[in-house]
Amino acid sequence: MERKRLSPAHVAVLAVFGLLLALALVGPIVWGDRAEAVDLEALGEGASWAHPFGTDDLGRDMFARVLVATRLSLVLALLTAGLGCGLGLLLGLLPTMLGSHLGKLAGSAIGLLLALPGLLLALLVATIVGVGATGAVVGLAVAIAPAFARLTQTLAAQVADSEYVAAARMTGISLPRLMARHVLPNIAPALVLQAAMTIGGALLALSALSFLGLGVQEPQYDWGALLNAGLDRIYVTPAAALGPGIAIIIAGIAFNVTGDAFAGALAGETIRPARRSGRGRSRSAAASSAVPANGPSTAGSDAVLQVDGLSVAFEGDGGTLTPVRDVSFSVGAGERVGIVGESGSGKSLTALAIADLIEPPGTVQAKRLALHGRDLRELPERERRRLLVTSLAMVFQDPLSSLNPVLRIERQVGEAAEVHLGATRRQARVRAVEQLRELRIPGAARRMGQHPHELSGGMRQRVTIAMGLTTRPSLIVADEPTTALDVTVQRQVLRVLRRVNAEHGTAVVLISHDISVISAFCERVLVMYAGRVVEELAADRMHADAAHPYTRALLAATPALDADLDRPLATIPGRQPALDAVPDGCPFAPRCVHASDRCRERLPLLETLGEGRRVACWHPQGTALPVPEQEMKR
Amino acid sequence: MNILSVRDLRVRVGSGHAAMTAVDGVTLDLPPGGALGLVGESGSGKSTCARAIVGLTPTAGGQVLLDGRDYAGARGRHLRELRRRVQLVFQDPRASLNPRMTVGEAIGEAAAAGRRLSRQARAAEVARLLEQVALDPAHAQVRPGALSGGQRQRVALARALATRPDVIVADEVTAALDVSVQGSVLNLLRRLRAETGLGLLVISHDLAVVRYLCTEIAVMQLGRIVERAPTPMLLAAPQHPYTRALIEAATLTGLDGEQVAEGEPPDPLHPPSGCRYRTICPVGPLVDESRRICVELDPAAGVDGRRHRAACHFVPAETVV
Repeated sequence: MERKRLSPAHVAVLAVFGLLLALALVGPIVWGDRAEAVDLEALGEGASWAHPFGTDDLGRDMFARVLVATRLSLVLALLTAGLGCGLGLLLGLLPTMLGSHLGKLAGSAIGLLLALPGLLLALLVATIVGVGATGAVVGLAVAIAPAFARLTQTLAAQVADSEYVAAARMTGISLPRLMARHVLPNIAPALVLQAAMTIGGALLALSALSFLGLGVQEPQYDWGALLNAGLDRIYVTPAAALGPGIAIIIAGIAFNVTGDAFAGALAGETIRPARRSGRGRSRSAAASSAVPANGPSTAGSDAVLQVDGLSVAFEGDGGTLTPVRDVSFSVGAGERVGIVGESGSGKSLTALAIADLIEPPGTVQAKRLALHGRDLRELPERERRRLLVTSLAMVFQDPLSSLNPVLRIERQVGEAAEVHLGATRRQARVRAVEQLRELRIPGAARRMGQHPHELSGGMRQRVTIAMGLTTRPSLIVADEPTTALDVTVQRQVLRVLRRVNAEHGTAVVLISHDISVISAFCERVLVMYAGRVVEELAADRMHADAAHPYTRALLAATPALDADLDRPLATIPGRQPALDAVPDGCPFAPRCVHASDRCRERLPLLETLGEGRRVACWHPQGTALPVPEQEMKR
Repeated sequence: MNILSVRDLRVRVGSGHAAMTAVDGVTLDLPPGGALGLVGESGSGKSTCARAIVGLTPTAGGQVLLDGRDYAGARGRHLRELRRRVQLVFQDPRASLNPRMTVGEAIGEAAAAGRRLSRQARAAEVARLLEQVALDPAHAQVRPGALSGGQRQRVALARALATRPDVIVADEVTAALDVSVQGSVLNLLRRLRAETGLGLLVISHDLAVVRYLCTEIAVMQLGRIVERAPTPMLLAAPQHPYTRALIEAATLTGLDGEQVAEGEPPDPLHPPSGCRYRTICPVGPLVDESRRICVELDPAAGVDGRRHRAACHFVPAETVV
């Protein structure tokens, strides 16, 4: 598994961190004597070559003392953070471990502790335990614990709600094991980061306590105590105060960034970076220009939509990915065309490209991408927008994402009429009610005053369709419009689309993963696989005539209510190639039972076989087809 | 004797104003090695019902009988025993497998829960289970992230089988999978049932999936079972209008026909009086105002002894047995 690469800044800070650790280990051994050496000749001196940070009241070298103090400062900070985070961890896991009633109590206790001001708590405990290093450590640990406990509690509650924890509980494993194996490893990255930042914080807080005289006492000293000693003379010999101050700051930053890097590495274990692939790049160029495509099969002058040689590419760290490759088709006026494919086949991106909704870093290339015969890419921005808005309506899977949650339905449906048709607000309202009635939305007038959250999912989807229809577009592109809906509601939405299609002659492009929905609704079907159209045929001929092995496999794998119960369901072995590893030959070849060497080497082109009938396969199935020339030669 | 029996199960979810009875008096029977499908749409309470049966959600009433012994509201040792014997398989294997544990660790942990297993015995058991779900035993070394959706779901099944359960509750186990691999999971469940006599309770919104796996189907709507019958009978002669609507929707027929009146879907927080389907029912008071009985009287599920039962006042006369 590849490791996440560290940035140069991380490397630098890790180096500083290593230096600090080394100092803590060897500091007192190497500079211990020098730090204690009293020099009555040089009392309270400023910075010089001999004493970079000057000397203290007894003439001891401040630089050596700062170096020596590294060990005590770091050890105390680690102890404080360890104790505080440990306490916090235990406290924070209690609500998850104890179950509903006692757990709630534990949660409230954490909330209560959080409400107490931390520094006061620390001072109080430090005073009770006794002034000195122990008091400071215990006091600060108690102050740190509640915040850490709250973080633990929140994270653990999220993980405890996850299905894999429910699944683990199902197997009957013990609670401690559940915590150790399933909960802790999955909250560890965030906790590690927090703990590392806590060490930095503890370092500062301990220094502050020592500075106030409540922490480390003579003859011991940490950076805070040194800072305290140096501060009296800050106007005379600033180096004596700046030295320990700089040490505190450097150590604080080092801990924070190290924690960050460490947490990143922990989280990175489950994230696989995209592999660089040179092949993807060269192939995408070929796809967009060199490959000669057969023209759209039902191209006519009355075509509402013409797409020729459409490719969508994304420039990323791992090279160029091309999820849509050389897609060509056209949609006639009033036609119902379906695009079917599994997730990752490029069908949704095709829809977005048609609606000019691909955002950078995505790029769209096409020989032709025309609405009503006008190529979108040749029009000036304003006209293109206008053409899109007035002739194309998009419907997405999640209606909530296309509805503004704070606006009433009236405004959302009426707005398009106001903006694009120049209607007054009154006219727009009338138009909106009409529109909802037309879509058979019950209580249309009442809906006008409602907000999206007051509607059911199916109702919302019908409202988004109504919104798109206000400008009387000639084409609706619906991307998985019923996937999030129940089957009975899906039927209602499909009926609405069917009705708009029949009454207004609005063409519909329906995109779905569900071949049964596509074949029930559409007249013509495009089957997509790994970014390409692999077959196009009439919907009612699909079961009889499908020639591409993928189409046939997809049909066979779909459980239907009239499927033969005595036979196992068909499956397609393997999976769709990853975007950065699309093979050179037919992308379906690795999963295809009919694949030959030719399939693995050469990409089959989308050949026109008749009116509205195209297939990209070296070995098309079925008897109704003329055997391709290449096949005869073999 | 049924291996699993659910009697008048009630589950309350939510609190305050959002509190509702998500499962309201559900009764189900699963004979040993039987396969029962629980079908319904989102919000029908079918998944809540499944979670309550395995003790992941507290029950508010009723019984969950395993071999005649009541486990409803079980705690501690009893709860662990229930869970070992009735395993739940979740919808999305991406969510139900711990991303940080290898396949072998996840299955091995379940296999070793509640009994002592040496390291070798555990590894052998993991290999046996992986083979049982038609996966290469070498997959024990990988993490779920490296597997396809169908393979992950089979790993989740292997983990469920590891505790040697009598019943597997499969909650929408194919809903998150691509069509090309759904079949592999469904075929596997069928084969396991045939080979090992495992009982199956299949929760799904998809009639085709349930038809493929189950010998009997119960249809759930708004927390209640509205119809229950052997699979062929239910599909050939559905009695409840809701079941008819589900079948019609699943076959996607008649998309062009004129739409009948459509009512307001019932609010689950304030279920309607009488029949809970009446606000959108195509044979109820929405179309025939004289049918006041639907508003006034709750259509109790028919006589217990009958094989085909529907909770409707207006069951088509010719289908009443």
